[in-house]
Amino acid sequence: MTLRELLRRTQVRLAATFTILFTLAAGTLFTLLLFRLTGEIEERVHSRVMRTIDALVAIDRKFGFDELTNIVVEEAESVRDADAIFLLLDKSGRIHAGNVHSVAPFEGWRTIPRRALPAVANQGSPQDRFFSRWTEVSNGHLLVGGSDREIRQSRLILLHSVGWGLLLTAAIGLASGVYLARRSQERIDNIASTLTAVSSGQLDRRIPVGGVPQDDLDVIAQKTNAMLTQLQRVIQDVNQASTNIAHELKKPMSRLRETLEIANQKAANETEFHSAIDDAIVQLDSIVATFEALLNISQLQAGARKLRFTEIDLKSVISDVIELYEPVVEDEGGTLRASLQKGPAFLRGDRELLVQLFANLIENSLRHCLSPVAIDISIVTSGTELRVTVADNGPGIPEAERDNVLRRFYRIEKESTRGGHGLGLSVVVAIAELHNASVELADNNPGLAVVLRFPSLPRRAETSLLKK
Amino acid sequence: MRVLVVEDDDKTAHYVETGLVEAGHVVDVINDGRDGVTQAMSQDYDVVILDRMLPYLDGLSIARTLRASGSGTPILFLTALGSINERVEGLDIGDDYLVKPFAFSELLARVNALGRRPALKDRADKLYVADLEMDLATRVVTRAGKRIELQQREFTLLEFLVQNKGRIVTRTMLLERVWDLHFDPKTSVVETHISRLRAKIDRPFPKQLIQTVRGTGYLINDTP
Repeated sequence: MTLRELLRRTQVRLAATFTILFTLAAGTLFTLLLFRLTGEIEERVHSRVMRTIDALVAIDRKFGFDELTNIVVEEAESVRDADAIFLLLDKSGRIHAGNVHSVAPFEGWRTIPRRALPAVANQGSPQDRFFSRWTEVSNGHLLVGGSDREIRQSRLILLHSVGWGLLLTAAIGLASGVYLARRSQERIDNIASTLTAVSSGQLDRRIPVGGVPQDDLDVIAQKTNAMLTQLQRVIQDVNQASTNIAHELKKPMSRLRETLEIANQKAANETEFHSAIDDAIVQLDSIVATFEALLNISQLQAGARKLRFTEIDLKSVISDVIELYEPVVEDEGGTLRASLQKGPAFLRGDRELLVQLFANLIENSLRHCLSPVAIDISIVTSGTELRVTVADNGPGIPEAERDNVLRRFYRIEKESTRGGHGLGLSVVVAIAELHNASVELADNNPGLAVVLRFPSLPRRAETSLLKK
Repeated sequence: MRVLVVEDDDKTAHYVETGLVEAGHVVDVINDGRDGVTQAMSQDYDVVILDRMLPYLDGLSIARTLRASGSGTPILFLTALGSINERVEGLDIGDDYLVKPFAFSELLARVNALGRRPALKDRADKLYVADLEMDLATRVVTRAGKRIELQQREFTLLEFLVQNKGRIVTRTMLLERVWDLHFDPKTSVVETHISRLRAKIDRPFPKQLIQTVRGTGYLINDTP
């Protein structure tokens, strides 16, 4: 990880932000402390100077000016590190004792920098300043001053402790940020590389997800994996459908070509030509029907048709379908029966499509059943569900194949000669889905039972009468 | 009949024009929607055939403009493959629709049916074909004076055939008008119902009224 990359990491940014905030807070605290401390120490120096002055004034009063001179000489000599100044002048301004000179008398407190005091300029610290005060004594004037060295020393200690503390905090903050960033980096890299692999075509790649710990990255990884699985399924379905379409259309196209070629070579007269062309048209119509079914399924899946939904009595739909197909079934020696519950079975839907749905199911049964076919349609309302079962006595569908046959163009291998375009059940599924209905294939022992579950619409009887 | 064809695809337009002219109609062809609407408003046509997708102005808008101007000329829409939603829209404004590709016989049958569609007020209470009589009010059918019992849907089927007496009605037209079905059943639904109807109105009598037009549909006729 380069520095630039590192700075882009969330954890590092967070750590940096908190470090800066902490530094600002500590800085404010430091400033407050400094002001407080400076004031406090200055006060102490002042009172120390005042105490010295008081003691010296007492000596002057008690033992006289000469004794004071001796004491001041001693004091001035014994000053360590030049952190105090003394100057004793007599009334004529002559120096009697002290470690400085050339300081004119003044009223009250004054702060004198060391460089203004030539006698002691080379001693102590050049930054020293002296809090000083003149006092009148019996035979002259006394100057006493205390240095501010303590203040500067305390400041330095404060600065050092706060500075090191801050440095340490920043170091810990940044280090933990980098540590966290590196730790999640690996997982983010995993996610990124998985997504790159998927977009480059390895559709089955998934993000490795750890066992128990459920942090936000795990959640993202799991959701991403779920999405990838869903997308993979969709893509596979689309691929499968395209392959199936190609196969499904190649066969009739080749047959059509054969028909035309044979006619071209062998037809002896106009009648034979005509019949070949009629034949070709029939074959083409069936190809067109396949395309139409496909387009219809796509349109159904787009869902715009839902806008036209109205309240429909499913019983009347089924009655119509039965009326339409009964003669066909009877002519084949079979039976088409319906056991419909009492009372209407209302749902919101598209009548035309529902008729097509049941027509497709009946035609499917007709195509696959050996005579005599027996088709039974029943409606049962339970709760908010309308369950419609279309059952026949045909060969049924093996359990393993049931999911497959609902897919577009799927046809069980041995059934492939039975005709139809292999989209009948797909149309059924598409129409059912548009109506929020589920489609389930079950065993009718023997035969196939297609169970459709529609969400029903509770209707009052008078409303249904009004509609009629 | 005078027929206006508004179709931008030259091949389809030529195909339709040639066929309709051969069938004895007078045909005008226009290639875009803007000219199409002007032409339809300025001349008196028996049938207007509109493609849904047209340059400048689509078929649906032309139909709306025509209807808004008070024209009741029958309109037949030609729609692209598989446009079930478009078809529903088209039927709201137009009178009939046909999905491309279509057999010419289908188009011709529909144009004929549209062009001579009687206005509602002119509809008779009774329809006749040869010795067959249909009473639309009492729903009684007799042939040669003998009463024939028909189921409701058989009656509707016969009524549609008789109303189009002398004209071919196609299998698809029957599915749409009699059963309100707008998809193509794979089984011989129409054939079976026609054969049941024939068993009642034709078989007991010497003269067969319902004729099969091979590859196209059916026809009911006075004359043998």
